[in-house]
Amino acid sequence: MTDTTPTREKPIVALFATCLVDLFRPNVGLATVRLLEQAGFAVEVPQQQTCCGQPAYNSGDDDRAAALARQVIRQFERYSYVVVPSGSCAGTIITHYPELLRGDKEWQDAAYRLAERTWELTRFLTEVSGQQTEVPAEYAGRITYHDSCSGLRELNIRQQPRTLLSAVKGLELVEMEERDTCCGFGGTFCIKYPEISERMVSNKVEAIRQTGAETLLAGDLGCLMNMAGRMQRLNVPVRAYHVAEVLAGMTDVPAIGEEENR
Amino acid sequence: MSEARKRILERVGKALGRDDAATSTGRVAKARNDAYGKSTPPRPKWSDSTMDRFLAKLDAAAATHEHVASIEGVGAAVDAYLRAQELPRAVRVAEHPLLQGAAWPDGLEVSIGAQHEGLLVSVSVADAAMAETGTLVLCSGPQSPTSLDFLADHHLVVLPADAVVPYMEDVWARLRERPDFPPRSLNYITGPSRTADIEQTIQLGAHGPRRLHVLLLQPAEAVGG
Amino acid sequence: MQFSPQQFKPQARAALQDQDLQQALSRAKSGFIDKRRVAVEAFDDFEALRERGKRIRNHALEHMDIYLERLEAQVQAAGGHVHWAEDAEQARAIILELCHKASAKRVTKSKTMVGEEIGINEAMEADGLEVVETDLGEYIIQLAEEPPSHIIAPAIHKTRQQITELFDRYHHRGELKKKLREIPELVNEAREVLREKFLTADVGITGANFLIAETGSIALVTNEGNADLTHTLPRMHISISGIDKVVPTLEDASTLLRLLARSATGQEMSTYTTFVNGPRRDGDPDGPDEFHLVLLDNGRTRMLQGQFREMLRCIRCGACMNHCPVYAAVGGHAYGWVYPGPMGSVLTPLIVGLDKTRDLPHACTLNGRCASVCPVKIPLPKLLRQLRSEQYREGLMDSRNRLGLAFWGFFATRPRLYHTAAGLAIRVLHALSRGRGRFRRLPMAAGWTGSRDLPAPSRRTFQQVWKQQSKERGR
Ligand code: SF4
Repeated sequence: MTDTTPTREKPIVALFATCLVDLFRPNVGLATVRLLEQAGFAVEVPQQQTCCGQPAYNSGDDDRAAALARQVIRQFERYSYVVVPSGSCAGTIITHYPELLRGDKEWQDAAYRLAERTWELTRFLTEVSGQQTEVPAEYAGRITYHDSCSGLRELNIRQQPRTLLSAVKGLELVEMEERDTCCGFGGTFCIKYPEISERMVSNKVEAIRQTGAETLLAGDLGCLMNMAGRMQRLNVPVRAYHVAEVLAGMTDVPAIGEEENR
Repeated sequence: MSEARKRILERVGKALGRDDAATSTGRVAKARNDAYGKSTPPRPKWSDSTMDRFLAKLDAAAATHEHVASIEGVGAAVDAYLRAQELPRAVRVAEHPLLQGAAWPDGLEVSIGAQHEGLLVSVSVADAAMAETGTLVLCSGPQSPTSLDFLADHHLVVLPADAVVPYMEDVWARLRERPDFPPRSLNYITGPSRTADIEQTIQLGAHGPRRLHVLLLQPAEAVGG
Repeated sequence: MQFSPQQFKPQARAALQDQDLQQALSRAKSGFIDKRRVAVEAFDDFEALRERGKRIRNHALEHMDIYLERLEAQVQAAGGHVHWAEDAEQARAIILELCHKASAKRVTKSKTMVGEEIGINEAMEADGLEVVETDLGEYIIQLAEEPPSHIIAPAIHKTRQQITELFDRYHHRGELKKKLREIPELVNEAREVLREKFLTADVGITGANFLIAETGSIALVTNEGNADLTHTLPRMHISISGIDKVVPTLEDASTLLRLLARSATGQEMSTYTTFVNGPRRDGDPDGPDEFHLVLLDNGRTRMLQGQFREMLRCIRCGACMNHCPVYAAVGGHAYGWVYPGPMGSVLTPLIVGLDKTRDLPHACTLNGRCASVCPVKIPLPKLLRQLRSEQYREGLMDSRNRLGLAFWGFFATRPRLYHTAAGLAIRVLHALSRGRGRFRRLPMAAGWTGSRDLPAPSRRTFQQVWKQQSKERGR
């Protein structure tokens, strides 16, 4: 058991859990906390957090998105580090808040300050905490990794999760074809254009299937739910976990969308 | 001047928030220099000689070539090409001063001028070539009818070795010195005509020449060295 | 030109069910992507090249009026004529008048997207002219009476069998027995048929890949050589171009050409790149007697003004659509007009109006792959999102989405209420899932469960779990 008493020396990290993790998969949040604590940080979870505002932002509802941006900034501005287990929510905070609040100098400055201190989880672990070699987890099996679009293109996340995973005992990574092609999730896109989304995710599932991997990992719960849901509909026996769950050795819970009493 | 012209230019000016001072030529040139104009553009790099690069890229573009030691030799080389390709011994030749030195063998039917009916094989002279991409440069004019470059099935191009330069920018520098620059049609030609419009499969000889053959005019001593 | 961007959804649905189309699309996709990748990797510093391309285009746009006037003066100095058209109608009128002047009967055309934009073919045909597309892809779709589905490869959606049938119908009166002919045979047949047209055309119409202000040159890029036969053989050459195509110098065009060929087809240089300067000169053995350049605005000055100026950098390479997973799924016709894929989803609303193109800015996951390959670094997802924002402001978003956003926003901006409600909702959903971990069907999420299972939430939210754990850990 790690020492969980917060001490003065331990730097504090605020966790922005994201609304999907909060609502659908608490285990990702818990895994993130464990990873951060193992890396020597004390974790705080501001209670008032809800959503980063991406659904409004991507729909063009700028006012509502800006209201949420200001809410997030207020809740997190006192922390030196904010960590997010999602490339797309981190991307929203880091790249889109300043743009969204450009009409108001003070808020925009605040947005830039928050952007500087906000980190997607795998980048934080590899680039800030610098403890990537001491990942103690084990995961027996072949996995394949989907590069979620926002993380990949807004935050340059490609190597970081692979570096972390390479230290997981028993894990074998098999790359899929077109690993950086969108899975068809796209937030509200998958509901507004279900047929197109279905084709995209079907292509993705085919690429996953061809690797022969038993497990699919990614760094964004939205994409994972989309791919896992499609695999289950097609009876493709590949399990899906968030990368944090594997890194933290917390895969004792059912995989995404799996029965509870397996 | 037309109303449309006036209105479009007005709208452009308004969109750009123009005041008249900004429009002086000097300012525009300075703005271009400040933005990028002073630095060398990023370009492909290679370690071989300019000529080696040119020939390698020419080959990659599905063109063929042979060395010809002197302009007199062009006639025989053309004749040999026709025979090898089992073509009728007839060529259409650009009225280029250089080609007047070609010794055309007996029995080879040589006609001079732009396109004509049933044109199968043409011979013209390149004004420059660039190693960057294995590209020939031909300028239209009395000595170089553009139709010869596009209507023949086999396009044979005489290229003096010293006309090969590394980059497109070097081509411009070379051509800018000519009094008739720019010509009506300035053609960069990289290999024979092709299309991939049916099932993404490349097929040579779409509308232009099916074969592009370069006669590289290079004195014998230069080839060895 | 067919115009049906409003029908995006049904068109996309039909496209997804069209087996021939799907076959053609899947063949095309990887070809373009792989070829581009090889060409880009072979280039020492492609990023720097993109940056320079962006700067050249920005500078040209920022001084567009000056460069357009310089261009005009140089075209005129070379003996050519320049015409200005504010919209499609004016452009069509200018071109028709020129054709009359030339007493034209037959017009050859090489591929021009601006020509499609102004619907020039229909106008000329209605005027009794014979119009012949000479780019092989354009020729095929002209026979099929379809619009292009890709800006670089207009017939990319056609299979060889379909092309065999078309050629049979138009070249052999349907008397050919063969179902499937070889590609070389088809290409040769088109070559023969079109050669005759080239040699007998009265007017040749081309687009322009770039306009070079310094020299008054029109740059034309093809692999087939059809543009050159189009501008060299007829009595009159008309080039149509958007005013956005102007660049300062030949050297600037060189950089852009390096970007264009690599991004479009993965070539280092297209087979034919030509700079046309005016009509035939004294002593020239060939070339047209007259040269006309038609400069088209059609919404471009409006784009120059606002937050969409960056879109005008576009050099029409098609890389964005080649890398777009939505385009790969539905093809170009679903977009309902000339410009498909990401660039089209930005351009079309800006040219024809947001109210007529409601779906286009939304039919995108904002995955950003298009922007990552755009040779002039156009932030396409950002522009698409800006269009959504304009739509939202103008009340052009459908009420269901609007309502959904308002509902969600109401809770998301009231944290206390949000967490209470979320806790309850999660509890209910979890109970409904009865331990199966997912839903096969869920009425309120039919859009999702139509094609995939919906993972069910755990019993409690993360916040609830965390609160309890913190308590247990004594914090
Ligand atoms: S937007 Fe960019 S990638 Fe798309 S066609 Fe234009 S230049 Fe090419």
